[in-house]
Amino acid sequence: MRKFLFLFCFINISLFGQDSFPDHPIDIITHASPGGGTDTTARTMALAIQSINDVDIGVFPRTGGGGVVAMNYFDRQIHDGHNILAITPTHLFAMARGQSTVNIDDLIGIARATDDPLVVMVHQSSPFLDLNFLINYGKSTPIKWGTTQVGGVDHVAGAILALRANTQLDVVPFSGGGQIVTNLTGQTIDAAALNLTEAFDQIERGIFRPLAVLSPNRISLLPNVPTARELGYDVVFSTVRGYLVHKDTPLEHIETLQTIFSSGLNNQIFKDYLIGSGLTQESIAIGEEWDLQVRELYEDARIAMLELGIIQNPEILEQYMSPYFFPRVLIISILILSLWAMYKNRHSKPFFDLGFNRTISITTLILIASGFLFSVLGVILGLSVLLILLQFAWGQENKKILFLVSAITPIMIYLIFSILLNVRFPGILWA
Amino acid sequence: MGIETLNYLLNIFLNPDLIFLIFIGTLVGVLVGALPGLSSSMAIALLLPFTLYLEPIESIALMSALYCAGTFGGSITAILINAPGAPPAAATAFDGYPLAQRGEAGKALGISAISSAIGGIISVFALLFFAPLLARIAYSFGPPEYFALALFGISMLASIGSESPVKNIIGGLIGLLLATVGIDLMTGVERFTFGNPELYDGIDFIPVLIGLFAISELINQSLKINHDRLALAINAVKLPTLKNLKKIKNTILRSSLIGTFIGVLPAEGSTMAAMIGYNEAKRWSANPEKFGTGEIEGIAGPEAANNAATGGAMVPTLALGIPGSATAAIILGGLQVQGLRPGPYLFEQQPDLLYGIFASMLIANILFIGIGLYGAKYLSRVSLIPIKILWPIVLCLCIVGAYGLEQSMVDVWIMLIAGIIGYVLKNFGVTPAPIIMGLVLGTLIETSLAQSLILFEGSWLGFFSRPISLLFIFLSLVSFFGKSLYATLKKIL
Repeated sequence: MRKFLFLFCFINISLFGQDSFPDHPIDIITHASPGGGTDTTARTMALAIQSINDVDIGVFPRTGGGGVVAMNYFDRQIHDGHNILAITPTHLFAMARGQSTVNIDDLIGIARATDDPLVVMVHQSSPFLDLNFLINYGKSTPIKWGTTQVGGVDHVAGAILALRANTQLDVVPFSGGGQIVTNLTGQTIDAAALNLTEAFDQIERGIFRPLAVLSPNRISLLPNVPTARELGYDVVFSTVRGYLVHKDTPLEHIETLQTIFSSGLNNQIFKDYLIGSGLTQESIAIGEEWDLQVRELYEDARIAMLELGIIQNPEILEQYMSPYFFPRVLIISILILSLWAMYKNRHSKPFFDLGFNRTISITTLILIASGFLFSVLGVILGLSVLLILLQFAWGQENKKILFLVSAITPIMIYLIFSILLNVRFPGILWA
Repeated sequence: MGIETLNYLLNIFLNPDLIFLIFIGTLVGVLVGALPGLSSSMAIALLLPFTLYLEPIESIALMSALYCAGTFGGSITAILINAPGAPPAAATAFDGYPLAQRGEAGKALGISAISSAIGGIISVFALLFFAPLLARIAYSFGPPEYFALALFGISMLASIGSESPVKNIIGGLIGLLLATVGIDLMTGVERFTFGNPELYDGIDFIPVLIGLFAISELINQSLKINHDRLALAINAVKLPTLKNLKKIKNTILRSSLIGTFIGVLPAEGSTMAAMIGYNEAKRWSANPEKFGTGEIEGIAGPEAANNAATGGAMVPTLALGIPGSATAAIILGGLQVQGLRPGPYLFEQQPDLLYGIFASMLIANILFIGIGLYGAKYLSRVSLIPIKILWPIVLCLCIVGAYGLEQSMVDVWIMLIAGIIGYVLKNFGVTPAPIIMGLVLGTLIETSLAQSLILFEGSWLGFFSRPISLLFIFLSLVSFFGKSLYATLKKIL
């Protein structure tokens, strides 16, 4: 409802012909399902921004594929600054593997919100009292290591740790930190590298036991937990969460965004969030500082992926089940069942009756034409022609009704979608 | 129910935006429910693109109100023109239409509205009570349990609707296959994308949904363009008398419990509940021979049951992410598009959503009594809008709805193709509902299988070593093969 009201305001503004940015809600496109650190950080920041600026900003999750889904979605949007990509090292790993249509050089940094170290955690009732214990266990039985995404930062951190410590790891990918917390609580996995933001609550309540911090120095909230370096394993990984826009975005919009984000991140709401997560003000970086760092991180990610052999050989990620196994099983089952159904119904109906008689064929043709009409003639004219065609084909004799329906419907639809919901339509007559 | 619960509910009842949306949802629901060919599943599918512009709680309030009201709306046309507005109302026509023919349409509608509302309200309370319980149990659910449960959901497709079990299963598998398009979550490998970046993140759920439900029905409706329908005259709609209520109170109660239970079962929804509700009402009745001639118990039985199934169906949908019916699958899809993840997390972190659903279903169930009683007269007239006018307009909404989602023409093509394929499949006896169930469950079933295999170090026997997964795998086998096994045994013995 709030967005509707906002859109009404937007109509007023656009009527006066002003070019203001942002003129509709800003979307932060994340890759994580709700409950994880990336999601919580983005939502808190959006809240902080809205509390001081007159800007409507929301979080739009596009989960899956190690951030590739989110990045490709971002890439397809109009690059006017209303779509902002939330990035974590996970995205950079996917980019380094060449999986996304987005390239690091296409992006420009707006701000960094967190620099959140990873902490290796196990369940309180597990026998792993320290990191060495876990590593030795892994030498005989692979450690079941929960990760947020395939090739995500926590995956790479685990894999590098296993490499340095000469132990074995079975990676169990989930679609976000929230799911890892659930599965570590239910002890379906042995260990995970979680951010403090994701699991501090569980540590405080004594459900999870932190074994090692993957940061250069110990962190203030967990003073008794050693770093991996102290234990002799040189593994340093943190979840950096920052925001970027496409390089095609107009410069003045980028500047506006940097100002807006800076004000939000320095707001008390976000500061409280950082403190509650065991982070400091140093987590935040604006503009160039972040822009340079993201490029460095990308280079680090690429080197780590090379070391693990993921870039050279992506099949390394397959564990026990090939990605083609499930679709193949489905196709074979569908074929077998269809043959069975055909055999059972062999007497009932002429087999190749697809159910197309004359009326239905005409309707189907009009349906196919409707796609072309809509994309070429645009919403108003295209839909009008479509309505006339379909009603005519169906034998609408009352010409008055025919034209009335064909004229009013497209205009109503245009008004609702274009003005109220801000949909931009295709078509040469509506470019 | 603690203070907190009341607090949440009060927040919703005092939120004018939400109440407005619930009212709209109820009104649209009754309307589309009453229009033959338009079902609440289709209406929710068409509304999904709009709901993305709303806050999660607003969109779910709208959808769940529509779900409840649509299930009731079907009975209006079932009673007045002997054409159920939606499949769950088919059984209502058996006794509703004869009663209306006797000039007691008002009474029939009154009984239907009251029974529907009571059934719905009972099930909503069941939802409020059982969903959090189930969600708490779900904390001990790991990937193997989810896999077994999702498999059970697919196996239940064998028994939905009147179509052949094998064809329903085929539909479910087609849905699962569609869900594998795009980048694999486990390995990041592309599947069935043919190098097209638009398909990297998979086939979008909403265009497929609109195509399967609306476009395939539109092709179907083109056969009926010259049918004329006639509505029976309707006297003033009245609430059932005390004597009537006494007669049907046991039927309503029984059907409500049956409906809620059937709703909770994965995949089984209102249509099945209504059929069983009708049969049980007949079986328990003092004069079963009068059924089919306008018995009020024959209206109360299916109507209480089909509305009770709505609340029931939301239980596994919200607590586990396993849809309890085809319409619930669509609502689930809508929630996922919004980025919400049903399951225990939803209840712990976003209790306001659960209460939003609860409150909107409760309000919708009360609102449609009024809309049904006072609006039936007009609604019956609306249901006579000629197909030649109604469906071309629906087509425009489909196109713009599919396009508006991501402003991509690919989605429009996906929708049109899905509709045409859906029509052909329907002609072969594969209905859209199982396809949608498969599509919604696809990612869950595949990733939980892959995750389980990692946990079991590649051993398939692991599924039998955990009691809950063993139980659901056993239940799946029973629902896949139970019927034929039973028939074979009967032959042998």
